[in-house]
Amino acid sequence: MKKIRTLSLALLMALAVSVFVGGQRAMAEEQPLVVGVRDDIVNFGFLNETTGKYYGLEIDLAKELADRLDRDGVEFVTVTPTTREDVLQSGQVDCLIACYSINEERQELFDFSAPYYDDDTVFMVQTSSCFDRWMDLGGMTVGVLAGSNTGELVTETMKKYSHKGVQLQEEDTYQDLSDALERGDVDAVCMDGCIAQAYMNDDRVYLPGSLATQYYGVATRKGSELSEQVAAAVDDMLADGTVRDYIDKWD
Amino acid sequence: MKKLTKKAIVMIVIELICLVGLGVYLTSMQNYLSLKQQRRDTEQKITQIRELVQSTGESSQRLKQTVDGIYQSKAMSLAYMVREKVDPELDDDVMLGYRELLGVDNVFILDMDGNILYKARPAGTDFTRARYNQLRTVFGADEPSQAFEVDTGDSQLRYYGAMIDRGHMAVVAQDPAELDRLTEETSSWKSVLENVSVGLDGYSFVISAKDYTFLYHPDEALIGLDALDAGIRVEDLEDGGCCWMTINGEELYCGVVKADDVYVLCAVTRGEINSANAITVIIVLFVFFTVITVVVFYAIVMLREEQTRDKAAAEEQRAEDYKDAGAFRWHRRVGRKLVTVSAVGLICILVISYYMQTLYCMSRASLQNTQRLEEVEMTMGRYQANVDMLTDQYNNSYVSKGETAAYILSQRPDIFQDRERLAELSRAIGAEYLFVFDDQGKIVATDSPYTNFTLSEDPTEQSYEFRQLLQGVPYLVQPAQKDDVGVYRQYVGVTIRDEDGRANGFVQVSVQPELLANAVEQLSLSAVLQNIRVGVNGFAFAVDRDTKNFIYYPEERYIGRSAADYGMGEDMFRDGDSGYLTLGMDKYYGAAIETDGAFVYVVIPAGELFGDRVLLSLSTTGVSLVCLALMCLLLSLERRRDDKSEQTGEETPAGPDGPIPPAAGGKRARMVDVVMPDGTVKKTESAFSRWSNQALGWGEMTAEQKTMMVLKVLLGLLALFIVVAVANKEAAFTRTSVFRYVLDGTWTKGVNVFAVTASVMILCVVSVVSMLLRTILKFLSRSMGARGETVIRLVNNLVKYVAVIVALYFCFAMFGVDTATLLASAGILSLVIGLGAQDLVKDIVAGLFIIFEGEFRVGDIVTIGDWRGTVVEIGVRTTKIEEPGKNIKIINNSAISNVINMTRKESFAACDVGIEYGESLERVEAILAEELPHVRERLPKITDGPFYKGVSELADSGVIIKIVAQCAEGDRIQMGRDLNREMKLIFDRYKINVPFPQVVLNQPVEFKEATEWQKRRAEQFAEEQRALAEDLETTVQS
Repeated sequence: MKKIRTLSLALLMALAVSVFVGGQRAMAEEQPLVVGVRDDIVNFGFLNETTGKYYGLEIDLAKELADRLDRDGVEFVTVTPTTREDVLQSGQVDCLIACYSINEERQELFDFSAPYYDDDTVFMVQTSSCFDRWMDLGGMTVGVLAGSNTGELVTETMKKYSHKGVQLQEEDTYQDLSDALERGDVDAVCMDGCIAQAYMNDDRVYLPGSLATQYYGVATRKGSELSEQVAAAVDDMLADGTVRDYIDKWD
Repeated sequence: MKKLTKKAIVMIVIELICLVGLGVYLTSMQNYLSLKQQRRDTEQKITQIRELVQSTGESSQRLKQTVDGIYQSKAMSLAYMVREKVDPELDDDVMLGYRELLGVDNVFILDMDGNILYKARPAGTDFTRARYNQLRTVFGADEPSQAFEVDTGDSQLRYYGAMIDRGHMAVVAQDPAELDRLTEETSSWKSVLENVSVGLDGYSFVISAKDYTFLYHPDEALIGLDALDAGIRVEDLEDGGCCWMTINGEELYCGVVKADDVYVLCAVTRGEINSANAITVIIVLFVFFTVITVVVFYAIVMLREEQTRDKAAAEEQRAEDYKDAGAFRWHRRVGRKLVTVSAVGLICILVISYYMQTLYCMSRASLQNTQRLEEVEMTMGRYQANVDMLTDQYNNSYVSKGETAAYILSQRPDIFQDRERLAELSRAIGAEYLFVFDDQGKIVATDSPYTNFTLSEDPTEQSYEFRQLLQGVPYLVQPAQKDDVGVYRQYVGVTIRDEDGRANGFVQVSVQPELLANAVEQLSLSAVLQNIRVGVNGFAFAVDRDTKNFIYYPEERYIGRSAADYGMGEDMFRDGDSGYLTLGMDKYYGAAIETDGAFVYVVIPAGELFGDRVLLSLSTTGVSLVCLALMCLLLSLERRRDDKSEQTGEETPAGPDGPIPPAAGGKRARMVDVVMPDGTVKKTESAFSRWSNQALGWGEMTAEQKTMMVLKVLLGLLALFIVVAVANKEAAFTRTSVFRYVLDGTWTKGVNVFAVTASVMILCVVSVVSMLLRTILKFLSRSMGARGETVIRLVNNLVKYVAVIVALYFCFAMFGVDTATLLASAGILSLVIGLGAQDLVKDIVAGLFIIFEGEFRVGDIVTIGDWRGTVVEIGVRTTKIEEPGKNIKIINNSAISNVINMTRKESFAACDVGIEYGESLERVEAILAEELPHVRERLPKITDGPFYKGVSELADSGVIIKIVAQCAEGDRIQMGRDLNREMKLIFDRYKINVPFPQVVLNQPVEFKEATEWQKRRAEQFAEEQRALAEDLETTVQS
């Protein structure tokens, strides 16, 4: 009798262990994909305050990515241009899909997938300033986002157009930039087209021309296991037209 | 019998399958067609919304321009005042005064770079920044700068600049809150889309193209929520697209318009598209069900009757009834009858589905037209509000112009001496001309050509009004009006005061309010109607109320012409008319409203009205035809079997509902055979049965009667359904339902499909109500005595007649007959009838007297004139009496006189018997005393007696004694006979002779035998005579 009890206990334990181990394995695959996204860029990554949900091209992309990586759904973490690198580096998120453009400097820090979207960096001005070309900005103040690479780009570019050069004014958020432009604290702002679009209104115009083309990619930690998987999945999405469909959807 | 049951079950199953099939077919067909129709409507709507959005954009643009224009002109005035040094020394206090004068939030004088020289209040902003470059444009173009808005976070201001001289400019700043409010009022999505009707119950909403949230939705809880979350798919949001969308589980058919960065959608619920004609489908299906049920039932009943019929007759008929067709045989008689019934049924289906389609199309068109008219009304209201608002704005600014001019005059009277400088001032303040009047109302200075002018003293003149200003009224704004030359012009006056504050003349400003004129133009009916979309080929037009000329018509050449010449009749000029119109050669279906001074019509071509009704009703009939043909074939065909098995089949014992049991003893057969003139024998209900208050038992009915019964039940159900629906129409039908439209009665009364429908409904209601009443009465009559029965029969009749009259009255009303007049003329009518139908009236009055005085009741035995019988029914007009021979005599009530009612007390049967004079009376009496009790025993119907009443007569040949017995009146005659018999038997037993007349006989004669020939001849003769006089049967009386 005792024997049987011991035996059954042992069996039970073995079963429990096997279930636990199996569960562990399953969980590794079925963990949600944690993605760093923007919450303020309409059509890319935008948090609707009323519903508490994210919407946009990058959000759809993140969901599809999680799907293709067989993850158990997707979890969003809001990042800003100043925080996003730390957040990814520290492992708070698995990847960044946050209007994060690919450049050499960044490529040394992170792995990037193929670009899923290319965007122009543009100048936006108030109509009332009567500016209509880059040359007019000589000696003026241009607002750029703190932590972005736009500042250098503007300085570099404007050297060619005006001997006066430009003064740069950095602001923390895009909203601050927009407000400064509205007040007249800055005479122009320089930002990526998709972002500028969100702050565009009837009283503003883009100055014709693009300072640079930005390529947005999905960033992952350097050399991580995920990098290859993500890169492959994004390649797939580009190849089968998924990305194009999303761009159409959010255009 | 088993076989038949099996067949019946199979047929019921097939019937259900057919029903479901037709239902599915009809529903999908209707839905498909509705959707097709909806698509066209939605596409139209999209165009309308596109135009609306555009015109709203334009009007909001115009509003902005208007308001900006006003402030630009203020900036100009300010620049002028500074330039002309109206105040010799400028400082911030003077600026504060200017700010007050101009009625703005702040004023500045800036140098060329934007440094502030003078200001009314602190600026809190740096005008040297590039942000304010717009202001500096005044130096290049010598005209006021374009307005722009700066939101510094704590204040929001709109800036307007005007050049003073080459180095300076005047700037006016104004909080745009007022402008924003006005814009919101006129061009917010709510104000724009609220009035747009989509379908009948649909609506429009707006989704942001930026973040896909609801910007506007009639359900305010949705505003701000995510549209994609609610179920809308991004792929569907394509400009100009029409497709199904889902919002929170509700399916909507939407049209999409992309405007700037929003999607405007117009949506109609699936419910509206599909269920709008659900009632049509239900009714058609019901008719189909009825027809097919009747066919199946009829066939089954006939076949059963066949089986249970007398076997010999059946054998005989069998051969000719069937026609062989391969393995099957066709029952010819049943088949033929079924085909007839089916054909009638098919015609019913065709007619009813065509009728329902017509009804549906017309009600829908009417509802839509009404809605479009509402749209016109609301649009006009919106435009009017718009114009009012603009007028307000202008008036304020004009007063401000006048005040500025008055101020300048008070500061620099010298300007008014110089015509040139006055003109310059006019330009600066944005006026056409300036006039300065003295305290007598006479012009003292002006830059206009009219120099010599005095205010009129004639109250009808335009200028008279300005005399008010001389009495001290601070200012006067006259509404814009056309002057003698036809130019739109507006005059505004502001009083000038002397040092003591007394009115000392006034400054008058004249302006040409072009923008306002434009807005008024926009308000015009034509502009509104031009933008109304009416179905696919429909349009809107307007007719002047007084002149009956077209104010607006899509074809320009008709505008201004007489509408009557173009085919419109007098009766079409009225409000709320929904009906056919003829315009030129074409027929239209439309509705009208009366606005101030005009009738506005929306019409659609009559051809567009009905869509696919012919196709629909024909296809419905087609499908029904197939179903019915199938049913008929299945019902009339049966597998051919050899006789043996047939025999066994026949021998199956009849179940409890087997052959019709012979009428139970004593009960009269209510179905009788009648021979028709053409020799055929038909069954009919006997007169007694028809008049009796009881329904025919199921078993006694013929196949046709049973079928009729089924039909009646089905139609009764339909009627009941309609009654219930009518009784709670709010709950039963949606606002868009056909029946609701009919019930609401907003259509024109007249001979049209709605009137027919309404009449059908009225008939249903009336007949159901009267049927219920009569059923109750019938139940009552069972538990009531004879008198009750009489009254109930009368009430029953009354209910019948009242129901008919009520129904007729309302139906006439539906058809547009003026029932009030009808009622009034009923007085005259009754006189006419009174004369013409005196007898009828006499009958009815007599009937009433009979009933209420209780002369006799149903069941009484009465003698009226020579007629003796039982009263069967006392009607309003006639009384029916059944005589002992079971014939029924119908007597007009007025002819009922000298009634002997013999039921009131017990009757006596009497018997007179004679005895010979030689017989001893005492012996007879002693015998009778002994025998009469026995007689009583032998005749149980005797209620009292018999009594010996003594000698009634000493007659010629004997002594007559009288015996009487009391009995019921009904038994009296028979009782008399029975008494006679008993007496004879008693007399025989006791050897009492009954005297009889003696006859003397002579020698008998020898009779000759008839010859053979005579015998045969006699036989023949008798036959002949009988045959000849067969129809001349003498009435048998008891």
